[in-house]
Amino acid sequence: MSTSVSAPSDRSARSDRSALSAEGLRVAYGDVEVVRGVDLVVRPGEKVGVVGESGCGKSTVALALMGLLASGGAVTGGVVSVAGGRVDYRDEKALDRMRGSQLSLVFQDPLTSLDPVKTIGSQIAEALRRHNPRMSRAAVRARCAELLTAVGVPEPERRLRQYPHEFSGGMRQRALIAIAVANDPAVLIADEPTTALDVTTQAQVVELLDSLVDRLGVAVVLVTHDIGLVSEFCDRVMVMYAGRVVEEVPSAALFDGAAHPYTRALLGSLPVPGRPRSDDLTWIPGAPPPLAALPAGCSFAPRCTWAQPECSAGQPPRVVVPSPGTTTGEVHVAECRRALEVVASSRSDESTEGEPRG
Amino acid sequence: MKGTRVQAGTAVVLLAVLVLLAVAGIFLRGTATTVDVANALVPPGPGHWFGTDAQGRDVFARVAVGTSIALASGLGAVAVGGGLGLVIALVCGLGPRWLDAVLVRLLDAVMAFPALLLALAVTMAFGTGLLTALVGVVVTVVPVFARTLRAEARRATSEPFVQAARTIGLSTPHLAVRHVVPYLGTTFSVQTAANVGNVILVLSGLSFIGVGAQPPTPEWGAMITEGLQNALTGQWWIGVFPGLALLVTVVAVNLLADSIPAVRAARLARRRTSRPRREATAPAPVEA
Amino acid sequence: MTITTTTAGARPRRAPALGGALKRAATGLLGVLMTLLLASVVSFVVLRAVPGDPARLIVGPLATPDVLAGVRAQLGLDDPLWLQYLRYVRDFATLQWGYSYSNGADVTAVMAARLPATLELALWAFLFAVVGAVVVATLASFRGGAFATVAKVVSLVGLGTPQFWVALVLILVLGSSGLGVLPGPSGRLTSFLEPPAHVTGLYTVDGLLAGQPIVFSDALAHLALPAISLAIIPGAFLTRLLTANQNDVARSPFVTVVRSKGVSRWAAHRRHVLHNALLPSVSSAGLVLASLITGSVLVESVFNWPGIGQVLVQGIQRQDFAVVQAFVLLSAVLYVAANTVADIAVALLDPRLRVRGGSK
Repeated sequence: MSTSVSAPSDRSARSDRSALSAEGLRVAYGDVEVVRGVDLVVRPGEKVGVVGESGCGKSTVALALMGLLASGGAVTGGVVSVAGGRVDYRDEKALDRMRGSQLSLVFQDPLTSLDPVKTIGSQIAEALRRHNPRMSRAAVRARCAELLTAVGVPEPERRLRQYPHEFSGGMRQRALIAIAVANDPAVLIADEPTTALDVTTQAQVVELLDSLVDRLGVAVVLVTHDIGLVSEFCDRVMVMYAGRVVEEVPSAALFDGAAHPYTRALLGSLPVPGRPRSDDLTWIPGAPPPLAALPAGCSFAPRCTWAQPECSAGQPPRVVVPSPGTTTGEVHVAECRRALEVVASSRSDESTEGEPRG
Repeated sequence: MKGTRVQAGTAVVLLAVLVLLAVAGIFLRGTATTVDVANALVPPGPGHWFGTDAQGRDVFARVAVGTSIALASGLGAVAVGGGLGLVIALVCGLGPRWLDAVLVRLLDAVMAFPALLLALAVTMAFGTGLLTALVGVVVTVVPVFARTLRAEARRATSEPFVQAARTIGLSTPHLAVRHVVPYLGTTFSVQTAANVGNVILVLSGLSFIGVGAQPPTPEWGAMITEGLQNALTGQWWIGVFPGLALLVTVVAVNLLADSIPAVRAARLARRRTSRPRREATAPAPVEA
Repeated sequence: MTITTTTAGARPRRAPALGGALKRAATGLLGVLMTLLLASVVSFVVLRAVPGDPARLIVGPLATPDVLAGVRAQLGLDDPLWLQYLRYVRDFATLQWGYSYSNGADVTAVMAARLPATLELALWAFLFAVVGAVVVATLASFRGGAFATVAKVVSLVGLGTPQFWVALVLILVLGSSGLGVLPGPSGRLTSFLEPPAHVTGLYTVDGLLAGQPIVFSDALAHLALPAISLAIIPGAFLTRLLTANQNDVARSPFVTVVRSKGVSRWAAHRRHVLHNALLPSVSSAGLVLASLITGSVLVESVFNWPGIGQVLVQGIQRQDFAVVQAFVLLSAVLYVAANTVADIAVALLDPRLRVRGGSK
């Protein structure tokens, strides 16, 4: 692995000590580009959320970073660095060394994410042995038990000998997290880790991830469609639409200062405690455009209540939004020519709805 | 998807050639049995494309006649066996539960015998020959059809359109013929394609071990038996060509059967993908 | 040859409670017994009741009525059919398979003497089929592309192959009348070699046990062509099944999770995909056995292989119903037994189906 630092940019100061950085990441399946230039920087111990509707490319970003795209998919552009080292996605051996030791993954559905015919213990041990070939059997077993305890599975010795079908959904997700953190990775990518779980278990798993960040100092990239979860858990939120990050905003500024109409629409579809019930939830008309045939200009324009004719003319500018709630060094950027108006409207009338189409 | 199209295309071309050969066989019946000792064991060449056998009969003509025998008996046995299987499936699907249970057990018992051996036993019981071999093969085909069609028929009875027909007071036989049989059509055709190849193989196997078509008949299996002796003394063509025809026939039918599900799935997928695209470009509804 | 090309059966369900498992085992066993009972009825009707008078077949057309009546009484043919059926089942179960109609030989003794030859052939064919299928299917699933296409076409062709014709072609190409690499249709051993001391009856095994490498290699050379002819259909069937199973498993999310640990694609495929794909294929053991039995009937006579398949073909030519009866019913019993053993094996090998005593 080369140790070259990514090309200088306006963020190079931060990417020096980033746990994970991607600049201009592009992914294509055949001729269809599904991720179109995504920038993502994660500092050690930071919790970054990636949100968007299904099909916006967020899970593809997760798999692309791991180098585990399904056949037919390929990283076609961009520079990715993990723990200071640049990643070469054509070097399978180097990728194998990186996966599980520096960058690891927790997957969507805990019910199908474990090999059904192997014990939980052997599946955790596989991660340990892969990166520590000289570890003794006894040491592997002890470490496996320790990991299960760390993720809150009681009676680890007995549980290690059991098979996935003997674990509940929540317990399986804990086991998967144990596998992911087995080698103290710098970054944990969690792709919809709570979607398949019931509400109580969801809360427990999120709490566990939170505590692991505190104890191990691991950075977490949380990929989800649940903007409410992201706002509670993450330090920073990247909102994706049609393969691009349309807004990057500190969580603290999300509710009051979201500057992209799409983010506002996502927030509007969220039930908020304390809001009068008569104030109906809003929804976003239409569906995301097919990636094979994106509209010209801003991809969100056809569904946007703020859209103007010029929105469909050219790529929208990146607008830096001054947010009062942010600390220094945090960036709030929205890819929308009317971003500042959107912010202003939300601050003036406290409404989460956009202004009616006129 | 491209692979499937190539596969289906290959199957159709091969089958077309075989049908032509079978049609030629109808006109070559005389030639196929004409003994000409003076021209015995002639190797393949311009006069006799596939050579001649120990009695001077033209191997090409015999293979052609064999093609018409194989295709006709294969399709015939599957049609008869499939028809009987369909009747049993309807009785199972629409009849009383106890009868269904008994018949299913019986079908399983019949299916416990390897097809060739069951066909052989039946053929021997009625005396050897092509016709009795056909009876034997039909017996092996019936349970295969009955088992798969029965499951479909059971599913059909829970479909709303069948229940609706029942509520308006249609009699059970009427229901079976007008509503359940059309429902089974697809499965029936898939099963037919999947079984013809096997049936042709079993029939030639029976003839090969001497219980099916008997020697003067230009049946492929019987011809291979005849060719075995000559093969060891160097006249390979007598046994090899009929076997090649048999192989090509079975593979062509299996290729076709194998590509049916994929072609169907592709067609369904095409129908499905055309829809959301239209929705996506539709004007967005205005919020309330 | 009853093999059809559908892929693995339904995914195993979650492990039931202990009581449920016992109950399931009991109903399963009852079902097996019912099937066997009905199979014996089918075999009795077809081979005993329909073909007419076995006494006439035994004594021949020229015998006097007295002789005929004597044989009829001796065989119990004047008893009511249900009594004859019970006797038939009893005789089959106690291995008294009667006497050859044509030469009076004890069918059980003839079968027992010929069984090792068929067993040896079938075992090697099974080995060729399984090893070939696992290697080809794994490579096809792992590499995909042109190799997978070729493997698919070859296995489709293999599934439609008449074994007896392949036997002929193999002899012509590789045997004594072709390249001469392997012996032609000349039985189990070259004539000047003595069979090895009888331990298992399998010449390859006995040859090794007796420390006679020449006998082993000669027996193997004689085995090669018939075993390959026999292996083609089950091999092609297993290749298709295992390729489809592996392609299914390879798409599972857990394979991505294994890769995310840093395990290479090949190691993940070998350890996880292959393991999961092999499990359900165990339940097709009955089909594979059936194809080996029919194959031995079709192939043995081509190679002059002294097994029970050859006994059957000779029995057919002599209209010898006692031999055919025993063989046909035996094949059904073996098929049902193989399926039952396979079900039990899957239940033991698959942790989701394994019964756990004690722990909840």
